[in-house]
Amino acid sequence: MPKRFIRNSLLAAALLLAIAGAINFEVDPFQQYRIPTKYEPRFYRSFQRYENPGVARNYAYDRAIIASSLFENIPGSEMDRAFGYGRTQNLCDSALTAYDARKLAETALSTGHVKEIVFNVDYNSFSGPPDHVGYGDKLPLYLYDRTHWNDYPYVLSIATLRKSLDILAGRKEVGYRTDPDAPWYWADTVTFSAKNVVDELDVNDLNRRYQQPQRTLDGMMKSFEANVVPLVRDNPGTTFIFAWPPYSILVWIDFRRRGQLDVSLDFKRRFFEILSKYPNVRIHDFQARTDWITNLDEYRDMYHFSPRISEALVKDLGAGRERMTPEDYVARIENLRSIALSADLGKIIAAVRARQRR
Amino acid sequence: MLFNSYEFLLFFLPAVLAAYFALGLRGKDRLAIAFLVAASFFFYAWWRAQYIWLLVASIAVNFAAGRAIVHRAARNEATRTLLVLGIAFDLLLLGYFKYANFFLANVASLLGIAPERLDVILPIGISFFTFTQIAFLVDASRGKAREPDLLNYSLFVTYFPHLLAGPILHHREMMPQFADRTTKRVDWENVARGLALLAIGLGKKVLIADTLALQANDAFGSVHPLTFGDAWLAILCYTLQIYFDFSGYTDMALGMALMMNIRLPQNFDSPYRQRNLQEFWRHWHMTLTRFLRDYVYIPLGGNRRGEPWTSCAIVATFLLGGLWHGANWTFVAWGLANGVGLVVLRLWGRTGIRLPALAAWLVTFLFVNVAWVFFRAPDMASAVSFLGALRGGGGFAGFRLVVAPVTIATLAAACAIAAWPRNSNRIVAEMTFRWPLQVATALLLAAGILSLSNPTEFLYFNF
Repeated sequence: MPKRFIRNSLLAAALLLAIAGAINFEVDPFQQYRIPTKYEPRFYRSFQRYENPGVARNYAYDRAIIASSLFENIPGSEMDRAFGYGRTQNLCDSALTAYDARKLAETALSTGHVKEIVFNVDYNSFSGPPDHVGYGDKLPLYLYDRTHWNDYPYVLSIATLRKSLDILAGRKEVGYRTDPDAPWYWADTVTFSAKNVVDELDVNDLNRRYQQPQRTLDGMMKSFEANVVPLVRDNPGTTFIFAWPPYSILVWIDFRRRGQLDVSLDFKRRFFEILSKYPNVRIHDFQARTDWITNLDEYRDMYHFSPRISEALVKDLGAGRERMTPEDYVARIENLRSIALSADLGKIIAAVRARQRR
Repeated sequence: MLFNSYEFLLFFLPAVLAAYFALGLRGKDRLAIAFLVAASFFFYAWWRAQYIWLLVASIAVNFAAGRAIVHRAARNEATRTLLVLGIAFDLLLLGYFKYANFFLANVASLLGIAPERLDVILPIGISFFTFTQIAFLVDASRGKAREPDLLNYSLFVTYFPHLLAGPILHHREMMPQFADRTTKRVDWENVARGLALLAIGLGKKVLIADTLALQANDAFGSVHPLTFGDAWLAILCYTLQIYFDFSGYTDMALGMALMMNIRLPQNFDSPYRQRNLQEFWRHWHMTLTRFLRDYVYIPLGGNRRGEPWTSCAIVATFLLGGLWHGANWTFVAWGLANGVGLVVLRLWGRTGIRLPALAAWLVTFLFVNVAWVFFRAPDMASAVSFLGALRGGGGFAGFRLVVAPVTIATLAAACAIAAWPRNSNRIVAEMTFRWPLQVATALLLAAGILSLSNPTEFLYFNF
């Protein structure tokens, strides 16, 4: 009797798992094995770190955007037009860290057809240890390699099964997009306005909403040297285009208040000094664009800018504008420092409120 | 390696069981023990291989100390110095890896200087294997334990079902089982009961605890003020989450050990059904309570020196128990709350007033809920803020956090299961092997394995 109990229980469990696994493999909702042809591809924002490695392996492109949510509103085609050549795939992950970026870049590079990678350089992505992941406990690394045998957490997953059954049943839930050109686009779901930005602020603690940790130069450099330098050094045939993104002026006030201004700008200097030695690197800097960063109507919150700024930024990237050079990088950094030091939160908020009243 | 991982459930456990019984069937008992030790080290190394040295060093020192204590005791020589040295080694190890940064931060705060942090990672399970070995040394000095064989001792400490999160074992309850030849032979009834217990534990962990964790994490991580409803829902979710998480883990540990014909001590026995705090502690994390009673409370004098001393001993024991759970003032506060709660209960008992059963249960359950706030909150300020929300400080207007229907359904199921008189141990002890339980076991195993993806860590690994 106990023997039969064991045999029947294990066989039934194995059968259920086999059925679930077969469904998940065949439907493949996170596009790990193929681009779907029997249904419209679904790009699930809450599963970016699961879906992006599959997109990186299976789609045809020669330029990848590997960036945080700041670049999620950039369609690949927009970058193609700005550069005048190539085909771009957006592979952004919200709250991307340097480690997340390296792993995704390695997956993209393993295809052998990636000639350029565009990164945004986010100071906060270098916080934490070199293997710090931006979301969740750890990356699903089994999806980032080119073998399938270790994919059991994906194939034998209830989360995958729910998506597979939704697709098979033709259920259209919220939370996904279907356009591979702009898989992670969210700008049409929010409002960009100075009023919203200011309303959401905690003036005593600008970092309250984001809870970004304190960074040290030593810690940032460790992450940089572990994640960025090897990528650039070991892939000389690939061009790496780094863009310092245009945070709103409020971020610089926050950095200043939290004692993070010097560490950020020192990191920026070291970043340039080390990477500018590599011929396959271009570094662009949009952080002192006062026409953008002080216009809070173009922001959703203190970090995220509008598609209008994205589009202009992409055009500048394509045209090679705002590129840091050995001659101007110190001046750029000092200019940014003076902008940050002179910014006055009270005046900024008062100006927004006054405009509202008018 | 986590119990709730594909690697453990699909590869490690089946392979270990097969090899263990294959060696046992060929009569290679010593080899079977050696294999289990090797498998347990592999199990530990899966987390961070470089920390194996720590486990090896801890075993080597405690084994040598225990052996020397036994030899000296046999010659009627004093063992106290050796015992103190052995325990000091254990506490220094624990102190360095677990409490050094806490200590430095508090000293820096007192002196008003910038805190220095040591680059130390808390080795997984260190609190458990340290306490297990302290108990062994004390038992050796009392003549209750002796272990001349390093391989056997290594298995006692590293046996993978209990290595990371207990139960905290007594040497005398394990070694006879490991020495028994029959435990190396397949006993299909034990395998069947163990499999059912493992399936129940897996279900408790991944289907219930991990689901409830989402609501609790949202609330305790929220940067916005919580409403009365948010706070009470969150603490209720956490109260049940921690029970299903830790008792689920323990069920899995007991289940896989039973499959190897080893009976580990029970750690939970329907704690949330109890009607006073003392009974709660007799049914919650029972092997820790036993350890604290035998090795802290009684040596402190227990109840032999009058009421004031007894009260102080209770509070001191629970302060230590709180600190054992983590290097944070929140754990100290949690221990203090429980210690004071037990003292109040003793004083109440002297009045002779007896509450109706329902009222007694409600007071106990509410006390335990509120005390968990300190256990879960990341710092004292957050705990105080959360307690404010429980009193309605964040307003009474419904819920500000999103409450998923699955959370409510899981919470209702969790409450019903926690209140049900037949807990997992009784179900398995009394089970027949008919088809409804076969179906239930298969469903729990399949659903549990399908829910492993992106596993959250068992809460007790950091303690």
